[in-house]
Amino acid sequence: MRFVFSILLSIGLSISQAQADAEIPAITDGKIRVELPAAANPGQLQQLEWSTNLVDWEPVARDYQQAWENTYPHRVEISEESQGQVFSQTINGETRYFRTVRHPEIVLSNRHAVSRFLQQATFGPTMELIESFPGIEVAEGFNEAPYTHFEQWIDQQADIPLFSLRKFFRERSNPAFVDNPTSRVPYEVGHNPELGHQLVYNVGSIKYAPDTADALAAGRPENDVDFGNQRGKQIVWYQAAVTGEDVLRQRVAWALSQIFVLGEAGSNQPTVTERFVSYYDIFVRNAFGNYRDILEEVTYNPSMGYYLTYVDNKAFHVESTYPDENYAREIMQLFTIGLWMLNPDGSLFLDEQGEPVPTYDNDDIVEFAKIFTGMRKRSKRTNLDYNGSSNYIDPMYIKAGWHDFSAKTLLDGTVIPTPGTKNQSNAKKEVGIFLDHLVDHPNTAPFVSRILIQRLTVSNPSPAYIQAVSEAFSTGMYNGKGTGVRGDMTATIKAILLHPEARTPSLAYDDAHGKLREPIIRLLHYARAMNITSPQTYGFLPFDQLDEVFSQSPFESPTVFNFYQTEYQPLGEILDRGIYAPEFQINTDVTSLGLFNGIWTLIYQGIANSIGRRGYSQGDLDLTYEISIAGDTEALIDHLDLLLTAGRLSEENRATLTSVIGDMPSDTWWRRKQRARRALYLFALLPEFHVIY
Amino acid sequence: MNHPRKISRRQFIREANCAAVGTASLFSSLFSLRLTAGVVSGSQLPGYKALVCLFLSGGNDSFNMLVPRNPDAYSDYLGVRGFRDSSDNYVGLALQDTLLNPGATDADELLPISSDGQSFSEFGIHHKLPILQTLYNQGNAAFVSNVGTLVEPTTLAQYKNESTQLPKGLFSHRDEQIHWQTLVPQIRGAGPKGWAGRMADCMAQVNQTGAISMNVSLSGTNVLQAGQSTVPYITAPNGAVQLKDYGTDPSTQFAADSFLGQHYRNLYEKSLAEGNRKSIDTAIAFADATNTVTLNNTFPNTNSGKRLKAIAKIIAARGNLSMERQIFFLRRGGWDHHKEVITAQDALFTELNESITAFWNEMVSHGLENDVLLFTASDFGRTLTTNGRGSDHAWGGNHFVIGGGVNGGRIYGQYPILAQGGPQDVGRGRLLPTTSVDAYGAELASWFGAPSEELTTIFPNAGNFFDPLSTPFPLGMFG
Repeated sequence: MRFVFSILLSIGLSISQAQADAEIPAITDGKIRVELPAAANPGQLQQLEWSTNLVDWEPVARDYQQAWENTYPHRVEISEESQGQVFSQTINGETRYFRTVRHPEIVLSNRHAVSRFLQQATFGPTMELIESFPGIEVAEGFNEAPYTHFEQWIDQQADIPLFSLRKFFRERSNPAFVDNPTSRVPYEVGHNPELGHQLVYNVGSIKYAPDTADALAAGRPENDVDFGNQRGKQIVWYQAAVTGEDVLRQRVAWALSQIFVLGEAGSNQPTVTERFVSYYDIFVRNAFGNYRDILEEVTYNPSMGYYLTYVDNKAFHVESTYPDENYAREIMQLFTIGLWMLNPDGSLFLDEQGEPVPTYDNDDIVEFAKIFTGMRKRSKRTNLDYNGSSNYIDPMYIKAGWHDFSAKTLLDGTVIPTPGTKNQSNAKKEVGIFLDHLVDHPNTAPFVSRILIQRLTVSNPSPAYIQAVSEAFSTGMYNGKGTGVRGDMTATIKAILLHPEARTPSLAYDDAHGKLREPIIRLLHYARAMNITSPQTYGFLPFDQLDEVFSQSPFESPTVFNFYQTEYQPLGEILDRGIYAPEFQINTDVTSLGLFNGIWTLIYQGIANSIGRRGYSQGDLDLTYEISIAGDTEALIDHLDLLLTAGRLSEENRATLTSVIGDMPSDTWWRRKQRARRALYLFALLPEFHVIY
Repeated sequence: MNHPRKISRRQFIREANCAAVGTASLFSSLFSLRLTAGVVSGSQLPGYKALVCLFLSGGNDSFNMLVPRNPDAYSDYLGVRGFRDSSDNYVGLALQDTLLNPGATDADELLPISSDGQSFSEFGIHHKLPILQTLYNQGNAAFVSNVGTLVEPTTLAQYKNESTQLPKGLFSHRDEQIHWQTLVPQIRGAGPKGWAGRMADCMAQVNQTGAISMNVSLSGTNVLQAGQSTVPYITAPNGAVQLKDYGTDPSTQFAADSFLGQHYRNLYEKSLAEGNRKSIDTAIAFADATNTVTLNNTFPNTNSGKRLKAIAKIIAARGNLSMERQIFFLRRGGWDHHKEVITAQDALFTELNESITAFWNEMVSHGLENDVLLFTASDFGRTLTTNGRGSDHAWGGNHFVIGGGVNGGRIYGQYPILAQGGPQDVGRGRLLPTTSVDAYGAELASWFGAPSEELTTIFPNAGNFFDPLSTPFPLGMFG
């Protein structure tokens, strides 16, 4: 339902044969000028499209908030002139046609708008979250800039006591654990005797499996409490993701953990839960903190030291071996500045020849490898889950004798000189200078902003969106609030979730808007929306080895490059248009159907079989409400369209659902249950469920 | 499944697309396509052939996979990699050879082979790969030495004064993995598609009634197999995944068909729906074709063993699937050995040795050992110098090819001098490649049946290294 409103214009050779009643502007400086129509209603989308053949049209610019802007991947000149905004492009001989298209406005109900927001900001909306959302009943302006109610919700979220994965583990594992408030790493809490011994833990070389007495006492199978020695970290993670009250914090932590990737593959001691969950806690604790702090905690974390192989790294003079280059490379490529110089809006910076400019070269890596020398694990302590004589939880120290104190030239040519005294404190100072250097680098704000936007809201943010988030990151301020310190995560998250590009419903008419959601989030969405309950002895939700079903699960990234890459382009139209869709990298013939089947299993069998560890259910959806309304086909579909597809359900697909569900009998409770389950499964087959926009 | 072949619009695009990539103009490409159309037809490419790409993801330290055993060359090797003493605190990376290094205290870690055509004749294969030694000595396996991504021939001096074009993002995993697969390393990213994808674009007609894509991946999405019109079929080691209730519950099937048949404006929805449609249909055809197949060998239940087993199964089902030419992809990760390269490689090579042995025996049992070719690829080689029990990212590396079709028992390319500051060393023992991946790939493609006229389409930089028309086998591994 779109209509051409302005007129076809041609560049270069000829005026198009189409109705060309617009005035062709004079070509003066080798550029064609296209006068852009003035603003429509705020929130209403209009697009400028171009074509070389009048058949295939590609959007290149858009206006939905009373100013024209570029859309990814285009960077065309849009200037303010006396007659309004003008788009211009240098002519190089070929004919190019332009048209503008104005789309109808889309207005969402408050509840649909909130559900859509919660699909971006959490592991999945619930009725409770929707109904308790600030301002949910206001009549006017709820979903309009500056999105006051949404900002209020974010502020509330930041105040909710956090779900520490480490705390959860410690309270439920070794009965000998005691509170240690002075620990270098927070949440070194004591064991809670009321909770007993629920999770496997290690003392040196001895593993202590969970207590089975409770399972037997509760009439459950004994193996109910056996999740496999390596699964403790996942059990704790699922509990946080599905049941944590701090829903935004957990969601942001998950996004951060996909930048600072640490997986079981490539790590040692897979059974030592505490070291993995206390690493993950870095992101939970700092989700509303500061990026620089996260980078420092990660850098000194011994699990990361092992994973990227710089623990016990030595200066050349120690054994005539070269410092390991791994961390020096990846801290730049993946955690901060990326490979290529960027403009503040995240686009590639090009030199005079039009070539991208590398941020660093291999000599820089050899140089910076020297900075990460001398880092070592601290001695073991007994108040920790530990294996052998290792302490993988306290931050590493720097052994001065192994550190390379030679002067180092940074990327901007400044030099860290050799310090007067070669001690740990000066080595740490040097690391600190380098981390500052990276966080302050002009690339870091747009680089990190783009990744976080991709994780939370859209795959192809416009340059203006990246720039707005990047500014919040650099200034530490959003909407007049914030710490004012570079790297402020709260300001960054607000800028991502409250940007009109993330909030404007009419952008649904932009075919490149939105993103494919992560498979694990789609599965957990069902679990959360249907209030999953656990019949399981300790109330855990033991999803198991989901990476084998759909290539994603916590602590199971195959490499430091995450489950997918930010620049992945699936074959077909997405690639042809030059845009990105990272999550499609793990959407294959196998995993796409694997996810459908996983959701089917969750609906019909609970956490069991292909998505669980046992043949019997260890987690069930609560369909009481859905069954109660299942006799009314429209009510059931409306309800699921709110909870699962946030109002995106198309007319055509609604008609199909209505006919299929409506044809099922509903005269008994059992039959209404069949209806509800069938409807839930069919919703999982809808593209509208998997993609958000 | 064997519907009579109609030239659909889609098929036309597929055929027309083949030559549209690469450096040639559209006009000349279409012209050459017309000329070659007769060559690339099923009737004129007799017999079945399959390529199996084993991608060693992370960067195999391959100068410990193929090691020099002439006294001088071994002494260079020992010097640059560092002697590994018997202490627990060793830092050297050299594999031991008691004959050449009487100081060695451990057992030999090299399996001797010899080769013509290099500046010396004696080499050793990593001791955990005895199958390679066996096949090499039978003439069923060959090595290619110091292969890496290049845009054009480059000398050390040219590298240092930056007077030639170099691959973008050298030494980085992400870039070099993509470059190995696109073979357009002057361009960043996967935009140019993969060379096996371009090859499948050109040769799609060969599998006239094929039930699935020419390209099949056992390791998910990859760049190598993606073409302009070729979309690889991705399957799991345990067989195809079929959609629950589809085929058993008519209302589910009706709804799924209806949902997937809609037009979606949103590109992600549209791509997802198209993909789901294909996945559901292909899984049914695939399961029908492969379920009846039985294998003659036991495969190890390992990462590579499970995948090679699945590949063997699909090859055995080639008749049911109506496939004449297939390209398989499997990725084995875990080669990024910044630390503990010796023990880690021991374990990985042990795994590969077992799974390759089973695969080879299986192919022999079907009489297909001359028609199937397994070859390795990897991000890059690694530094010859140690960082203390590990090595860092580098460039050129060694690779092997297994199959009865190869002129085996020989090392192709130029085995380099392994010395720090040697003629190929760009620093820390990162070796400038002497054979481009294009030459390696062109050999495999030509064996597979790609017409020499299409080699510049499949390998756009090939002409910088050799004349693809007159020299479709630039290394001489076949024919």
